[in-house]
Amino acid sequence: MSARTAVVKWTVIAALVAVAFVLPYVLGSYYVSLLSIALVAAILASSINVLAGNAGLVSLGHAGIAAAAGYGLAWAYRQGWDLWGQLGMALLMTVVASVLYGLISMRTRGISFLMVTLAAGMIVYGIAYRWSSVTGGTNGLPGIRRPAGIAEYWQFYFLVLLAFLIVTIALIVVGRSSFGLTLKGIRDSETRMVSLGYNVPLYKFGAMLVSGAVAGIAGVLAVWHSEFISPVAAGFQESAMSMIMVALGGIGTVLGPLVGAGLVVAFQHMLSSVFERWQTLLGVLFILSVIFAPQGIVGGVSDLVRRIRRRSGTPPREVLAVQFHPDPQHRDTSRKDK
Amino acid sequence: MSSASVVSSSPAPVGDEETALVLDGVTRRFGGLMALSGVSLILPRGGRLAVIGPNGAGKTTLFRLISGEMRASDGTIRLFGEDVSRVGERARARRGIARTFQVSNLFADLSVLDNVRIAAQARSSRPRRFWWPIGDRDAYTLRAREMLDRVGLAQRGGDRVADLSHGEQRQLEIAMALVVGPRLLLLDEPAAGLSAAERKVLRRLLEELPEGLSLLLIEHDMSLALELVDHVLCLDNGVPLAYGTPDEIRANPAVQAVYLGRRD
Repeated sequence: MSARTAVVKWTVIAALVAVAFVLPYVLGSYYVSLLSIALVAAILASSINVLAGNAGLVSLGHAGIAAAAGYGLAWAYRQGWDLWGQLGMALLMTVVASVLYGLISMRTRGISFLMVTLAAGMIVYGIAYRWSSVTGGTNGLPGIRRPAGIAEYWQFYFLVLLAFLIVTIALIVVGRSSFGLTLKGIRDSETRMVSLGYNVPLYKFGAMLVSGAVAGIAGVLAVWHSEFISPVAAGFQESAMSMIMVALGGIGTVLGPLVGAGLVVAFQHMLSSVFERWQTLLGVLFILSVIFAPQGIVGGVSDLVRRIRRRSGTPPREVLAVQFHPDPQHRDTSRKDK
Repeated sequence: MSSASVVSSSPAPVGDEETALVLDGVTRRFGGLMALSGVSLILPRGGRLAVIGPNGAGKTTLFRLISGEMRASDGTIRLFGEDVSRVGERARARRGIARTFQVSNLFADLSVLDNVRIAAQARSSRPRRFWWPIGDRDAYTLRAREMLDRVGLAQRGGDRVADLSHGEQRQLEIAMALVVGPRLLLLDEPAAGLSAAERKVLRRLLEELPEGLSLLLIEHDMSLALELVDHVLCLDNGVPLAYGTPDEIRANPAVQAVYLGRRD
């Protein structure tokens, strides 16, 4: 990336973050609340994206981990525990759920991984539905008030925005680390990774813990937003919708989950008031995205920008490919170095 | 280079400290099909052996058994003095085996540099800054760049693997195998599908392999294989047919009949 491109990129990012912090001062409470919902959904989608984008593992049960964290928080709140106790219980439930998800899925991939995570999500749903003495059954656990300091809608928005930024930066760091590169290797060729000596199941387990931690954050924020949790939070529809957000926005892209979550939330809460069959429109949008931008909206836009740049001056790869054999002199020098 | 001593019936008693690989009566069955039957060999440390034979002779099966990708039905495999017959592929890799694949098995969506970097960090005992973004001056990155330079791909580090020619992908395979610092290198038809110019580059690369590295090579290009090794094992229908120096193999009537197609 040239220095100029980097400056433009960081200026745009800084401007977007600044706009995000200013929005509560110019928008009404309803729209700020919608933004909070979109950001929470984006965090859950990011937890799926870190697995799908880096390791190629598509989960259909991540709402189960988020719900486990949410139930942990809600249960502790109703027991009268203080904030740290509630967060501690949410963390414990996140770890337990992530470890279980990790253990049952670490030796699977592709469709098997998808089915195992789907089953794990359904187990969490079943527990939430059946264990009514703890979870409240179908009635759920209502009346979970937000702590002082984030009780107002705009205060909560700032918390969610901050959480989203921290999670996004953390996942960028993970994606660019040795761990992230190892996951990408697993995504591209597990057999090669094993032949190189990597413990592939262990890395998948680690990836699930990272992903689960992010899902847990989303679960806590979701409960604080709605002040309520029920088995629906762990249901297939929640997991599937999060997966659609990732696919729509762009698997493996940094902004994909946010774009996908923003679109789905806009369809769900704004378009639905003027068009009853909003899900049909969402389906059409998803199909169009799969046909015209299989790498998602963000991936498609990046691809378009890359193509425009290539046309405007960068030498095509074929020209570079001419130099692929080294000159003998160069080889001889490297041999002497040994 | 130490001379390889290989037998195709039962291995001669050689001290464990001198051997890289010992196979004793290794057999592999797929249901009723005998893919490999009673193969025994000793490859001394630093020895170089080519395994040849017509298609279906059991060469790749032999490689898969040695690398641990597949378990032998019978027989034992000793690697650097240790019985690894029941040890998995990952553990054998960590004991010093590196391999290339008959069909290039690379990380297609990653850059050439990242491919070698993944290999470089695979077996390092150095503490890793595992969660920290990878930098240009990172030890693994430097080692990966050095290896790319050695195999002649220094200019292609930033390119995606999918954009490499077939020959370059074979070079990259070898770079990934060498960067881990192996003690035993298994090359499965490294020259398959290469043009004459690319074979020349490959030959030069293989000639420059470190002296102490033990090499097991499967190759259909006889001129390439026989020039790089000191001994050759010829398989036919999963059974050892002949063993000897390259000159002995060239002159062997059984090999000529089965492999080279001459029936005098």
